[in-house]
Amino acid sequence: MTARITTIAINAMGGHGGGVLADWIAETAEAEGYFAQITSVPGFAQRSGATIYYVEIYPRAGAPAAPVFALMAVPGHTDIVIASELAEGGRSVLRGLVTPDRTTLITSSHREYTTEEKLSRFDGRRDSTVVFDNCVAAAKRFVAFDMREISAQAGCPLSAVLFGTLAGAAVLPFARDAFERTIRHGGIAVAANLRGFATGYDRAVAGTQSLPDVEVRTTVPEAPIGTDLAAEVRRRFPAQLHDLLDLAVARLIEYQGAGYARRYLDRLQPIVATDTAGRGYALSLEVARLLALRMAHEDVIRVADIKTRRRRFASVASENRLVADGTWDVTEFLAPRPEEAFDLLPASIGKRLAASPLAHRMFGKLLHGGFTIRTSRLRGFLLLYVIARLRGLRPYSLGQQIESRLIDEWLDLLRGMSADYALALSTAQLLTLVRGYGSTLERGRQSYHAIVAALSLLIGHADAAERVDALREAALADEDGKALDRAIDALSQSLPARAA
Amino acid sequence: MAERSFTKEIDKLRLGSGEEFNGEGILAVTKALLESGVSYVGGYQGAPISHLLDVLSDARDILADTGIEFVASSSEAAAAAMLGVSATYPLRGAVAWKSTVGTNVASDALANLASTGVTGGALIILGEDYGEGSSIMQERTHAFAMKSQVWLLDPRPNLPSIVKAVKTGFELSEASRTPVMLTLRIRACHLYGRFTCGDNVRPAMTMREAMEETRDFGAEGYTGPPHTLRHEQEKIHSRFPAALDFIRREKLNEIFDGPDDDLGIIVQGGMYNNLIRALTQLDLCDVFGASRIPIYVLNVTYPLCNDEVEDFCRGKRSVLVVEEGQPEFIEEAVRAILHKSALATTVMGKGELPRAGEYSVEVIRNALAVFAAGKRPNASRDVIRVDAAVGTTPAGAAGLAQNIAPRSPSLCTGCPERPVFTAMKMLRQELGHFHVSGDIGCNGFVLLPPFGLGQGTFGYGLSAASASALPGVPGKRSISVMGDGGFWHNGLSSGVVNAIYNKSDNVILVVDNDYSAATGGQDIPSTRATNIARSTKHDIGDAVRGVGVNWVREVTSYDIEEVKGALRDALTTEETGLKVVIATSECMLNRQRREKQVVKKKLSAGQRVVRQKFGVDAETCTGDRSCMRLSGCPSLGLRDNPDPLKREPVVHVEESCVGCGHCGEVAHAAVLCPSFYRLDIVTNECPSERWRARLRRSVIGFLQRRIEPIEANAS
Repeated sequence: MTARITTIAINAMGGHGGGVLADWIAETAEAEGYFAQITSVPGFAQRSGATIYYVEIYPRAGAPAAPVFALMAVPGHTDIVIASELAEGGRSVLRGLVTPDRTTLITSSHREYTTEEKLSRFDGRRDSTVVFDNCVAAAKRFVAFDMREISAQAGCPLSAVLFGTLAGAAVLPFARDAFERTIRHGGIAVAANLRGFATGYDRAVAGTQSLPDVEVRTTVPEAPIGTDLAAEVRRRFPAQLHDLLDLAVARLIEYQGAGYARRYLDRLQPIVATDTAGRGYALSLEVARLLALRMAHEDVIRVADIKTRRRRFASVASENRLVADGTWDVTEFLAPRPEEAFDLLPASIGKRLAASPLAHRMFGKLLHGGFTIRTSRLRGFLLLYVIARLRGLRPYSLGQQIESRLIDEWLDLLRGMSADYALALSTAQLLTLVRGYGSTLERGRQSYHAIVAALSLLIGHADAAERVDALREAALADEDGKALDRAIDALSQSLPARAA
Repeated sequence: MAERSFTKEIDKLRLGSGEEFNGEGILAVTKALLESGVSYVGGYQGAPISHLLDVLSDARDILADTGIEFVASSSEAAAAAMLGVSATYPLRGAVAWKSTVGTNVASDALANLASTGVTGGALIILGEDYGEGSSIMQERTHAFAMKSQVWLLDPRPNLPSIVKAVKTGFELSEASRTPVMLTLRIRACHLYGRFTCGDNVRPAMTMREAMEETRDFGAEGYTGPPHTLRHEQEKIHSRFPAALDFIRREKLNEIFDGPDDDLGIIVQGGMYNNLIRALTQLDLCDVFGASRIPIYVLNVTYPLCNDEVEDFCRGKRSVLVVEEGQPEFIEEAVRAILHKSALATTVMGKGELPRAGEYSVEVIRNALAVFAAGKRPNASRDVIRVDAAVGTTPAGAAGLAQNIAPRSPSLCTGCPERPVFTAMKMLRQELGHFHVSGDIGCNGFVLLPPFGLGQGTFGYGLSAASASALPGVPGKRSISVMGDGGFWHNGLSSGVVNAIYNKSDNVILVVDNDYSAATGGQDIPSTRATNIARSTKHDIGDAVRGVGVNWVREVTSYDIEEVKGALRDALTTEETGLKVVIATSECMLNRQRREKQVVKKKLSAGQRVVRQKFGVDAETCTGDRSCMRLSGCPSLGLRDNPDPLKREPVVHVEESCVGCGHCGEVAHAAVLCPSFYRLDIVTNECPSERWRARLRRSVIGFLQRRIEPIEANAS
């Protein structure tokens, strides 16, 4: 009876070192008295995201000759599958390479999103938990953790962590020492590779199966526990809203001041008054959230404020693993349009300038090409710091006037929809269209107003809420607003009688 | 400078008789060439044979020692034509390229060479890029072998067989006075294995000696009537039988007998390993290849030896032809042979096996399960059981397929072509639709998301030619995108000169990244680096001006505004005639490879190094992802929104960022958003620099503290 050929498929993304890993495995096997073969389609990982490297090994002892090795992994006949990213691990399951009778699946559980997932205007990310659960169910043995994080900490490529995990999983008949010898023999970045290897090894021995830690990183002002406003929230609003309102109030205090935060609560209250616990305050929660975001929208003053805050400097340092007292510079890329400048001015002046083509041209010339500002240097910091302090003028500004009108009209609209709770909720969500900067914001506003104008066609229809949702999705479907135009046209075609 | 350096591998090329070589298939081929006494080698790069050319260009010393001439051909046609010296002289020559695309380009020269015939052995090494992961259209080299009547070797995919095929290929070529093609599938080229070496052999005649001898072929070599008519007779009546004699005599094809000899399998050599694995999984074979069913391995897939086929099939009830690719030339030939010899053996092939697509182990196994249904010793054991489970949902989990997004190819992180395409996308938003003609190479990704510009690609360097029927008018001109590789390959003549001659009013955009990047970063005539073996630094602008282009703009790829401006001018100017925009910046892969070494040296010497990286402020990012739709950089990732009031994921710049600056450029050019920032991280800074940074930080900290504590208690 002859031994079985051990089959190992490596599904790696570009930059993760899949080729190096395959070489390491083959070298270790050969050193331990095995025949080894590798096949691959290299160069492809770099440009197309992922490729499979395939290794087969067979013991020399007692073999009359080298066996006939296959050139590619076979579904249902793969002993070890190594993936450098979770979706690639999942893809291996989908291809049938991972089967419960024999496959050990080792994968990093971090995600690197595909172009398709990234381009979506909604949250196009696929569900990692589903992929993870499928991996658990499909594999005989499953080891997974965030190896990208480990490799960043160790300063080694991901392949070294995978190699350590493979060794620790003890599915190949070689001792830890044999694997480590291969790394040493390579002679490149040995210390870092061994660090990553060791962590991988330990996690595999412990049988780790985990998704990446969800980052607990707050970039928002903390809730104002124990203040007057916090007390007011508790007095005026049901308990289901308290957490959210604390966050909202804190943000608006930082944005403009306590009076502005109180105005927020006043604006919200009529909506909450018509809502009930039986409905879980779904509408109130959504309106509270969107109202806070729009009232604290990112105008020039807000952006300057955020860019110069302590928490911002801290998050730049922590995200990029910078040494606290190291030397580094932060350069901002700011490109305001004339509109943003006019928004800052007192409403009467701003309005006149906004209507003047000459002012547009002049400001356009002035602001053309954008600015690069080094916030880490005094000059750049002071510039933004001073702009942030202009917030005292904000209540009188054109921008604030425009926003205020939008918000009040939105709230009026919602109050008029007490007969159709679902429609009110869908209409509330239309405000999510108004976001971003520059032309994105402009398009969002146009879409919002176009849908609001079409609402009169829908009110009273049983499926009005779904239709509003469909219009909102159409608004996000393309960049030139054509999908929304078509959807609204179709709507007025199909519902003319009611409109009349 | 190619993507990979082969300094370690070059030592392996010096191994002598009895020593063991370990490495990639394509490098084993290179070693086999040296052991075959080859006089000259050439070719055009392209996966999967790029490494053959890369290693040879790194192996200058060895080539000089053995007196071998190495030419980095400017196209496959140039490479094939180079074999012409073997027509007259007893020189062994080998060339390599990617098939079938390269064979298409080479087929003019190939047809002439095949007609004239050769004196010295002429070997054409073809990297077959067929099947999963292929980057080209799916066609067969077999058709070229048949139409030009050159012989096609398809050896079993293990290093000893491949090396043997190279050596016997030269002998076959000389014995039959015909060029020989050796085809290697992509996984065979990149197959790591071992073989026992022979000594390197000096060529029997060097190129210099041939120059001194100077023979004339004379009228014999003229490929025109009446000589071509005579060549045809010679091909059929003399070279063809000579080839068959050699193939039979030297037993180039192999027969592996087995006990169940009422059946038989005829297989292309290259498919042998997958066949054996399929048989093994059906318990019809052991891991060493001892099959119960006899196997006839065609290491030469064209021409077939009729008598060998007859002998193999005689007495068999049925044979299965395992022939990858379509149409099924071998299967049809086998049928014809059996018909002529009146054998009753049934022929199976396409039908049992799929008509199209790669023949993976499972595909072959499924066909064998039917073909050899009665032969399986453990037929009751359901070996294929797992196939039924593949794609179905394991217990306790669901929805896997919906949660795995496809991964389409994309430009590398930091690629200088990205800003060029971003500029084009922005220009479309500004000027409305214009026709974009795509080309082969990395620039072909202009067709893919997030750019989605272009009508397709119709050949290497052929973008401008494929748009040449479109009349250009100011404001409605076409842009033909062409890489620098495609430009030198044939774009200059079939694109630029063709357009000039036909008074075209369209635009050609040459994306110049300094190398033939898609094939592994090889040098080309316009490479700016010095290459001691080649003449580089030939300016693309000079070349197009030299053939009569008056309107030429040279811009920096990374400068979106500049690229946009030049293309806008080209599309809208009143000036008639061809417009050429050349967007130049070095391929980021090559640049990184070079700079990494410099930085490493500086760091270890304690010198000051500045590293640039980009980042996104999660707090100002509104998650609308306009940046991604204009850029598509792989280092732009997504994170959960850290703001509990927001739902949309925010953009995050991953560790893989190389600091090319594209996202900052996009933010400015598209007036996008203020979220991108650039970090300049200084290592080994001088003491005063560190001191100033600390001072700045404490002043800034003081100003920040002035604001934040006050506001916390504001209410």
